[in-house]
Amino acid sequence: MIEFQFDSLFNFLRMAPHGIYVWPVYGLGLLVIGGLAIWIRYQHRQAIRKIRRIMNRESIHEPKA
Amino acid sequence: MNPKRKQRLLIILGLVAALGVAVGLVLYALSQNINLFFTPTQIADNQAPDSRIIRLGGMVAEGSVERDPESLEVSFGVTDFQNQVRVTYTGILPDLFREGQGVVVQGRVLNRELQATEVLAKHDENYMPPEVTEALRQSGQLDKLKGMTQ
Amino acid sequence: MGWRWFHEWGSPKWFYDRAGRWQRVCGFLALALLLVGTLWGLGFAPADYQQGNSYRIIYLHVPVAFLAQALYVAMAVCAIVLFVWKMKLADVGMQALAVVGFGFTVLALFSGSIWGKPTWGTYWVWDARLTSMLILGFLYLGLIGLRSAIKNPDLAGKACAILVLVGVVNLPIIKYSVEWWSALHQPASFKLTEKPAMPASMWVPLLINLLGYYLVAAYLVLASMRTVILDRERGSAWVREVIERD
Repeated sequence: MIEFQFDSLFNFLRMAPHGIYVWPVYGLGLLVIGGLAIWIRYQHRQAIRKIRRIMNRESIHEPKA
Repeated sequence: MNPKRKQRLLIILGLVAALGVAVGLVLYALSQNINLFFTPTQIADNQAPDSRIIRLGGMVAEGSVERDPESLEVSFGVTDFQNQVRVTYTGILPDLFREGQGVVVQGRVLNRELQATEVLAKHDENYMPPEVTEALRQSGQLDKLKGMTQ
Repeated sequence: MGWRWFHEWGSPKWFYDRAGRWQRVCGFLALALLLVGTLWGLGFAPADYQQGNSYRIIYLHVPVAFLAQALYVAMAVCAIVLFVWKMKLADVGMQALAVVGFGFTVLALFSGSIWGKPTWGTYWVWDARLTSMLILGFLYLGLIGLRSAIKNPDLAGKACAILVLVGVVNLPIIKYSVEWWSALHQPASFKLTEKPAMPASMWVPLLINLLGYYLVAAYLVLASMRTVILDRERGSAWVREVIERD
């Protein structure tokens, strides 16, 4: 039941006559979702860095006895 | 759930319901503008404004497509199986355009004929591999399936 | 019935630890499912008798458009929990869901628009389905904007929750737009009460992708919630412990 619908990789990539519509959609999907994932990771690192800075500053001003 | 929380929940649900009713009424009042197109019957009943740009939706009538061999001019009937409106159009039709296909055309009605400036194809929610369609056509079941979705 | 789990969930520290683990599981599963579902849909599912290969956009468009609405429902649940139980975590959830939901809505709009060109003959038409989906996008955008505009986090949460609940009326409008009004967009191919309007060779990969996108959304929401928690709880002792431990 499941078989490859195209006779060559080239024809798969061409996906005639609609390749110019289908592939950009999936490219955009990768861009948006991948972009979100990377952006969230970046925000997470920024949050950690910010807290580290605060902690360092406090440990300078109030050295533990 | 304690009574205070229950009360807050009821207030919220009540407000959302009230808002829903309000929006529903507004949409009902505006429904003529939200509808994308008129049907051929509405045009036959003169419900569509004359000589203004409107949209008409329906099926391309079987056997009604006439193409001018010299130019891109094409003429076809759009039907809702009760009334039919003749449409003339000059330009490239979408790939899915064919007899029996749903279309939405935009243009002006002049002398009970619509001069279209844009023809869009509408497709239904059924998806099938071509071989299955062929088998259905041979057993005469494709029309039955199409009839169900219209 | 015990309410303990409910209160445990409300604890930011408990959630932060658990969410880190769930996030990883969701991410890996999503990657595997989407790889299988997308390749299957693009290469192995049969072409459509009318639309040919352009229908293959369905394997992204339908799950993403579905998720755009499901994430809004999740956000509305958060808004109710915030109002009724005053749970802070619900507000964190709302903030994360708005960003992810906006991404999915943008993707649904653009993928649909690109699909519209070869099938309908136009990128855009102001029919009820497309317009109500655009409004969903503006609702998400409005929520992101509203939160960044209000400095006080408690107040921002409440304002956002009100906007979320007001926007709920848009959801039935999106769902029934193609039935209540004449539209160019076709009705749904999947209904809970009926057989799908396509053969198994077409809908199995679609179902796989739907699950995959669900898990991607879960991954993104969990990751974003953890970031928001870290930022909001930056003064607390447990956050400092977590950071020193890492």
